[in-house]
Amino acid sequence: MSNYFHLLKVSLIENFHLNKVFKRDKIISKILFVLLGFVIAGSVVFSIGSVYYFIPMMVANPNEALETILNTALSIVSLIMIVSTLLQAKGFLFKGNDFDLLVSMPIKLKTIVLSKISTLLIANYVGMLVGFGPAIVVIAMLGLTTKIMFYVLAVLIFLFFPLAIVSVFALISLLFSNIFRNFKYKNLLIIIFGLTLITVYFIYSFSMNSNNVIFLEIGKAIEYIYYPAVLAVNGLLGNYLHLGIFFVLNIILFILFINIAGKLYLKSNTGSVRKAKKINKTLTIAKSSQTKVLIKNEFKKYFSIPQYVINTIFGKVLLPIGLIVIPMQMGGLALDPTMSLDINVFIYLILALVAVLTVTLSSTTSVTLSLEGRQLWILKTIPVSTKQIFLSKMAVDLSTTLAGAVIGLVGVAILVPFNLIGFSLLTIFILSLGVHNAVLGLIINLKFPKLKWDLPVRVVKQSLSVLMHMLASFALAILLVMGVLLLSKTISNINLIFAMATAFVLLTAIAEIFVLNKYGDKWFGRL
Amino acid sequence: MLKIKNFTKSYVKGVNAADNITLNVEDGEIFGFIGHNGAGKTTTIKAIVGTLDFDQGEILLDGLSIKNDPLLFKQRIAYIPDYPEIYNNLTGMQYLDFIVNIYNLNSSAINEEIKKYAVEFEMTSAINDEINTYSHGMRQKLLLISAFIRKPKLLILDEPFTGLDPNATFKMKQLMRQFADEGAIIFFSTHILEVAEKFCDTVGIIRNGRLMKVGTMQEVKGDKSLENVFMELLDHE
Repeated sequence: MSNYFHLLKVSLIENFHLNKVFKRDKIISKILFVLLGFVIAGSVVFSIGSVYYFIPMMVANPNEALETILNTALSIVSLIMIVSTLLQAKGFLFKGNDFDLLVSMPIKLKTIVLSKISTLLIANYVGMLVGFGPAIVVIAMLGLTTKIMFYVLAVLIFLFFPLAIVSVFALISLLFSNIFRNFKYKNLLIIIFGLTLITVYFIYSFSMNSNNVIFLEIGKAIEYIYYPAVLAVNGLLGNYLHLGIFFVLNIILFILFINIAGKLYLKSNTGSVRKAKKINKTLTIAKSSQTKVLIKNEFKKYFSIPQYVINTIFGKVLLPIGLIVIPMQMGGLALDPTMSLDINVFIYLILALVAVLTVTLSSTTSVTLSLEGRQLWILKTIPVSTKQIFLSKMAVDLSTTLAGAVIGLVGVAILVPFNLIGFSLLTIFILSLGVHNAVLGLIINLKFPKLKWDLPVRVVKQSLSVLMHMLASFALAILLVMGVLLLSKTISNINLIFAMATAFVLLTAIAEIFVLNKYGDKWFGRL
Repeated sequence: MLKIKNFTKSYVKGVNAADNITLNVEDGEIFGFIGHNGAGKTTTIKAIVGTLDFDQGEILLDGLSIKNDPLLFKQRIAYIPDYPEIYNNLTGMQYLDFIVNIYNLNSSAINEEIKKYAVEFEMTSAINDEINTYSHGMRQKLLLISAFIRKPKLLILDEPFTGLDPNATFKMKQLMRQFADEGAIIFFSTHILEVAEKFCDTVGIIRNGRLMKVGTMQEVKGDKSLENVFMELLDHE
């Protein structure tokens, strides 16, 4: 058991960068960092708590409020845990850089697996705290139950809940990766699956009237999302048989997982015997231009990391969905023949706002240089200009924006009564936004690179450049909305307001290109 | 004694990365494992240290099998891989603390040992820094310190001379000889034939997974240089 604690200690220091957190120097930046963390965590907890707070007002029978809040909370938590475990289990458990080191040591494989899953569990407890904690606070605030036993059981549910869910989905992730180990289009499959989920979710969300309704619907689907959560809810409501089954199930599944994964650990990391590939390709190289080769290489790199694609294409998938679904929902208003031209242009302005919120949600370029990691030397030593490198990197982000924009704009052309000015402005607006997003992402990544990492997911999800890009995008969205609102007080011509907003984005993109041109070389050289 | 009996491993059906390898390394011997890239050196080394599963053959250290008694086997070895992947966010000292605890080295002398080897490998000033600030050579040195403080029965190193400065290489060879003189087995792979020729007691040449020649340095090379013998074996294929 002592080996387990030593492993866990090392794993926590390694995965959660505890040495950096407890470093004594740079006290002010550390305080600021902690404060920023509290603000972000606080706002997430507050917004989730507010959803739970309004649930009692939305249910017909007040006696069902407690059950509905619990159903909703545990459904959300289950969804978060399922997705995060499926995405992270492989990295945490089976593809660590420390495999050779640990397995060559006198430690039982089960102990290694236990320490690894413990680290994953700790990450999931944070999700539990954010998703389930506010529900219990809201229940206490609203006085939906005053039984002490309820709160004691809630703490126990909190501790036991992740055990089975993480075990089951980590095992599923392991089995899938073993089955598809030699499948050529494995990454494509993961990307298509991820994007389908996102698309279905958002089409479903757009069809609802408010976020709270979506959460209520998620709560109703609890038994389909993760059945043991129903047992947990029933247990909290006083069904002790279900509560007992829930605890036993979690313990048994967790122990089973440790045993099975312990047995599979060596094989999963070292691979199995595969069939010999027939070598019938001749070794010929097709001549191509440098920029073309760089762009091709960027696309290959992009599609080889599914987490990179899913995290950065999110907004680009939402763009056509938003551009198509919103006119459909506003169809009655837009198609009204008595409406003035300006009102129809107003729809274009709304669609422009959708574009701001979706296109700038993420950028491939904000992590593209970080993802080069140890291989950055290749880019720095090949005889190509920095501009060619930047162009190839921006090509990926621009292409995804362009693909979404073309689909969305075709939808807009069909669904919204055609208005040349509005349509042209929207097209220029989205294209400028795409350029701005790609260039800004690259500038941010040049200034805040993260070149030392073990798993690409840490760069894609946890690097400073991603956070900076998000903040910059929020700032732009707020600036645009405020600007449009202010202008609308003095200017009545919506066409003019839209043109000014478009010009603002276009000028921002031009200014960013200028900055990249002037300082890009220097910043790239410093990497 | 390290005994490898009929060890076979394949990653691709019909192609053996290691093909029926049999060899013995006696206590106190320094054994050099020589072969071209992809010859099967790392596969064999990984099987010895237990990081690679295999179906055929047996690997024994003083009668203990890596398959049947993995924990007792591993307690007696120290392995240094070709690429020193260690926890980047730990400090060097935290890593050594981890090793000391896992191998139950809680003797009162261990701090003195760490100090001694840190001085020998010029790591004293860097030992409390995070490993992500280390160069390849410094990581290698940290792994060497962590191996030497264990006083292993079998020290197994994959391409140990890559990335080390001349001073550290000299120190490492000195310590390897000292450990061998005290009865330990040193098993390492290398491409550098001059080093192997001057430094090893016994040597094995592997090609395409098969052990082509094994024995004392004199038995393997005879009157020729090790380089000539190696090149002749390649030409004969």
